[in-house]
This record gives sequence, structure tokens and C-alpha cells, in this order.
Amino acid sequence: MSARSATEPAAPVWRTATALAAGTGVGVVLLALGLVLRRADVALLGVPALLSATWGWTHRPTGLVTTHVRPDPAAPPGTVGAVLQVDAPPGVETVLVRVVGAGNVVAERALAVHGTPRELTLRTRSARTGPQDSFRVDHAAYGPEGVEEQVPSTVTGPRLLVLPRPVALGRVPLSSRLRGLAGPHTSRRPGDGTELRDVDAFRPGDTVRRVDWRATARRSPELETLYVRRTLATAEATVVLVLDSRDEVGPDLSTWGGAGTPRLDEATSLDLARHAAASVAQAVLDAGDRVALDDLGQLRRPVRPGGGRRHLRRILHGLATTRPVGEPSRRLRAPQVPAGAAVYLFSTLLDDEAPRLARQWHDAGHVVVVVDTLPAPALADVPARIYLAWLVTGRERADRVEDLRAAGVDVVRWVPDPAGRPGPDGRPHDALDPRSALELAARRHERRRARASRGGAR
Amino acid sequence: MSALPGARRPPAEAPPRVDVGTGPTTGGIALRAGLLVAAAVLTGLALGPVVPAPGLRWALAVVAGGVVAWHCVPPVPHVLVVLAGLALAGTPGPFAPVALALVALAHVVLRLAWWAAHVPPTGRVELRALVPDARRLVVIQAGVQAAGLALLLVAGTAAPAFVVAVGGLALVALTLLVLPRD
Repeated sequence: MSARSATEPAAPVWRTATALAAGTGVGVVLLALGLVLRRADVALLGVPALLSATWGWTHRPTGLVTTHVRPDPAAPPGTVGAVLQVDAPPGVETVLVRVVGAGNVVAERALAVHGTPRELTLRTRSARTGPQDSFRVDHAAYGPEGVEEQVPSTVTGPRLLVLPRPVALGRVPLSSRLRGLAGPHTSRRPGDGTELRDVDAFRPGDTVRRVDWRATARRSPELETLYVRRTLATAEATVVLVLDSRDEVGPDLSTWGGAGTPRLDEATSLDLARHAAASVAQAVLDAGDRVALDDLGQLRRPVRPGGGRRHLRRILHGLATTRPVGEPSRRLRAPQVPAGAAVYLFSTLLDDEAPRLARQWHDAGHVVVVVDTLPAPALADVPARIYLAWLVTGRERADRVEDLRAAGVDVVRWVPDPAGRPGPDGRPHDALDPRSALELAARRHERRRARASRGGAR
Repeated sequence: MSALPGARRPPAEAPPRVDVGTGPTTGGIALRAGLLVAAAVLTGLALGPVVPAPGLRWALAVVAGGVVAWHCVPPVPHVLVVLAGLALAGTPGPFAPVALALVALAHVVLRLAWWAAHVPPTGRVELRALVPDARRLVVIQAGVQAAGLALLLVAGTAAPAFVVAVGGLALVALTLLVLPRD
């Protein structure tokens, strides 16, 4: 999270509230009434109000109440998190805070402060990710009985980086070519592993603990030859996440041309792409494989392949800092992908650039999955010309998706479209939720791999 | 593309809210409900000698309680307390025992009105923040109720004229004391 210091308010001051005048007024009036009417009970009625006001006046606070908003590094992904620190001098009893989050979501709280600093966590779930505005906090402080009040003042926190929120996925398509000397998958070459490859005669390089004494006794009772169990080596897969951050569009079609900004309570295409990439990264890393991250929108150093929980955090930060810069550009050279890696391309498919690169990777032998991250457009009350433009754009997008699927590239829609047209194979691909769609794609790839290995064996 | 223009816009996700990590809290609605009850009981008890019909009396009490709960900023609750004092003056006798209850209720109404005026219905107040106020209320009420009991016992005895004069002087001095000065 960024660490820009909070905006300091102008020095607030204490002032006497109407509670003092009202309390003493009631007390004096009732005492006078009781005196005039010679009724002690009427006079007694005004005594508590008078004592209350007197108590508040004689116990006025000194010093000023200050508040600070700072980023909260412990905030979970998908939430805007900050820490509100309230420093109150002795004599202050109550601080009223009004916390305004993104999208003008408001929470008002009356806090107990008794001369000790307090720290409160502020959290709000955010539909948007990446750099976001923090909380604005208005506060007013009160002494005993509300007789003295500090003039309300405002503090704004620094901008915060909201990390994408991964969702649990099942199996996801992986590369057919595994790499490395260790990992969660069984490769096709001999080595240290658990899956039996064959039983063969002992030869230089074999360890004694691999000797299969039962097989040896069966095949060579005189122990002329020792037999060892040979296993298949393990390996890991590499997945490269490529984020198309060249454009960012929301469900509101009228903002696509640059007029206005997407609503803060609706996820844009880039937010969906971040969530989708984070989910795939988590699924792959949880399985023990390696993930890399590259950005189509900006020429910067990619996140190298790696594994483990810390690498997931690195990927989430890399995703959160991607943003569109200028007009969508064309890459002369596709991002470099390690040999044998599977490529996940997260794009809106609003132009031909992303499909072109996907086909390049596919033709080079990579497993390519394109995740369509365009949010469902809001078509209510759109002007006719925008609707017509959307019809044309939507048709072009559908053609790109069909071309990719016809070429053998898996296209998965992150936001299911129940009205989506069936694909070339007659299946309603777009109506599936991403978990099911990726699971189906993974099975398809495994079947394809099994067929290829059977063909190779024959 | 099967949707048509004018179709209902799909609702956004559940509206987000800001979570503030406080201790146990109570809502502004509860404060207003408490204020309504306290103000209604205060009015109903005070109107006892003025409006003999119970139905009408309690209907007026509920209306008054509603007005105070709805508009809890000064001087509305304070006016209600003064009116209760005027109604109390209509009771026969030198000291009405119901005044002891009215004293406590008036104090509760004034404090609840302050809290209700500062915590909006959608807001929340930490229970810890109410404790010092409640503690002071108990301390003040203990003294006032003791004084009230003493007054109840000596009520009816004729006070010498100089005592009334001293009381009047004390009241004038008090008034001068609390008047705002530059």
C-alpha cells in the first residue's frame, strides 16, 4: 500500500454547546417556578438539569482531539482497509466519527475515549481493485454532558492498493510439457518419483535401496542379476498469466468512449481480469506449480515464474498495480513465454490484438486459455446510437471468440452469459461459470494429451 | 445479444458497507425508542392531575414522546420538562410524591435526547461511551432523590419569609452566574 501521509485538518477549537444553555435554562426556570409557586417538587425537577450542566462546565476538556487514517497492511484482498487512530486528551469522553468510504458509503459511530489513544480498523468490501481512494473521516469530540464540543474537522487517508480477491477454482488446464526435476506431476522420463515405470536389471547409477528383492528372487534365484524398480520422475508445470490492461471498461456503455468514469460499486473489465488472474494463480500455486505474470499494456519487467505463498502475494501486487496507459497499443513482439508453459490471457477481446497473440502462442505449441473479462453490459436506457454501436462491437467480439475456439484455443467467460450462443461444438460455453468452464477445459486437454501419448506409443 | 434497450439494469452486488472495529454497540434507533418511552411516561405521569381521563392522557403522552423522539434537539426535550413542571404544579398539596419519579424521568429524557440528537438512526454508539454518562446520572439522582425525600418529609411546614427571600436571592445569583458574559 502507498504511504502518503494523511491530510492534516486545520486546527480545531472547543466551543460551548447548546446543552449548557438549555440545561441551565431548564434548571433556572423550574427553580424560579418552584419559588414563585412555593412548590419544592417543581423546583426539584430542575435540579438535575442544572447539576448536569454544572458538572459539564466544571470538567471541560483541555487539548485537542486528533485523528489519523493510515493503511492497514493486514486488510484481506478485495477490501479497502485502514486504521483510524484517535488521540484524545484528558476530559474528552465521546468522539463522534463519520467514516465515508468509496462510493459515499457512510458509517457513523460514537466512540468512548477516556484520555487514551484508540485504534480502530476500517474495512469496506470493494468491487474495484488497484489504487483506490481511502476513507474520509469527519469527527467531533464532546466533554462530559456534551457541554463542550470540538468543532468538527475532516481527515482523509492516503490512497490504498486494493488487491484482487482470488476465488477457489478446481482443476485448470496446464501445460502438456512438464519441466524441472521435482514437482507435483509425474513426468514421462525416468527418475525419482512414486509412479512405477518398469522393473529392470541393476546397472551403474542405480541405488541399492531400489533393488526389488521379490522380483530378483523370482527372475534370478541364484542372484546373478539384481532387479530394481524404476520410477517416473516428478516435474512441475509453468503457467504464464498475461493481463491485457490496455483498456478498462465498465458495465455502463456510455463510459466506454471516455465520457465519465465507471461506477465505484461495479467491477470493470480490469477488476474482473485481476480477480480471474488471481484465482488461476492461486489454483496453480496451491497445486505446487509455478506462475509468472506479464502485462500486455505496459512494457515492464514481468514477474518471473515462482511458487509458494509469498509468490502469490507478489502476483497479487503485480496484478493490482496494472493499469491502462494511454490508448490501447499494439505489441510488435509477443511477450516471451517459457518453453512448454501454459498461457492464460485475460482480455476483453475488444480488438484483434489479444486474439492475434493467443493464436501465435497456440501455433507455437503452448496450451492457451483466453479468459474473457468483459463485464455484462448494462443496456437499460442506453441511447439508440450506443446500442447500435454495442451490437456491432458485440458481433465483432463474438466472431473473434468463434475464430479462437475454431483454432483450438479455449475461451472462458469469467462472467457467465446465460443468453450466450452455443459454441461451434453446440455447447453453451458462455453460460458456464468459470470454475466449471476451466474444469471442462482441463479435462479436454487431459483427454487430448492421453490420445497423443497413446498415438505415440503405437 | 438478446437483451433489448429499456430492459431492467441488472442490480449491482449487495451494497457495500463500512465496518468499523468498535466494541459492543447499540443503534441510534434504540436510543430514540428509549427516549420515546421515557418522554411518554414522563408526560403521562405529569399530566395525571391535569387530564383525569387515562386514555386521553396516555394518548397525549405518546404524542409528546413521539415529538421529542422525532425532534430531539434542544429546546424540544427541555420544553417538555418545563411543561411537566407546570403540570406538576397543578397537583394538590405542597409536595407530590410523584415528583420523585418525574425528577428521574426528566433527567433520563434530557440525557437520552442529547445522545439521540448526536447519534443518527443509522449510526451506532459504543456501550462503553454511555457508561460515564450513566454513572453521573446515578450520582446526581442519588443526591437529588435524597433531597427530595427530605423535602417530602418536611413538606407542609410553613417556611419563614426570610428563607424564601434567601432562596430568591440565590436564584438571582445563579441566573447572573450562568448568563453568558464576554
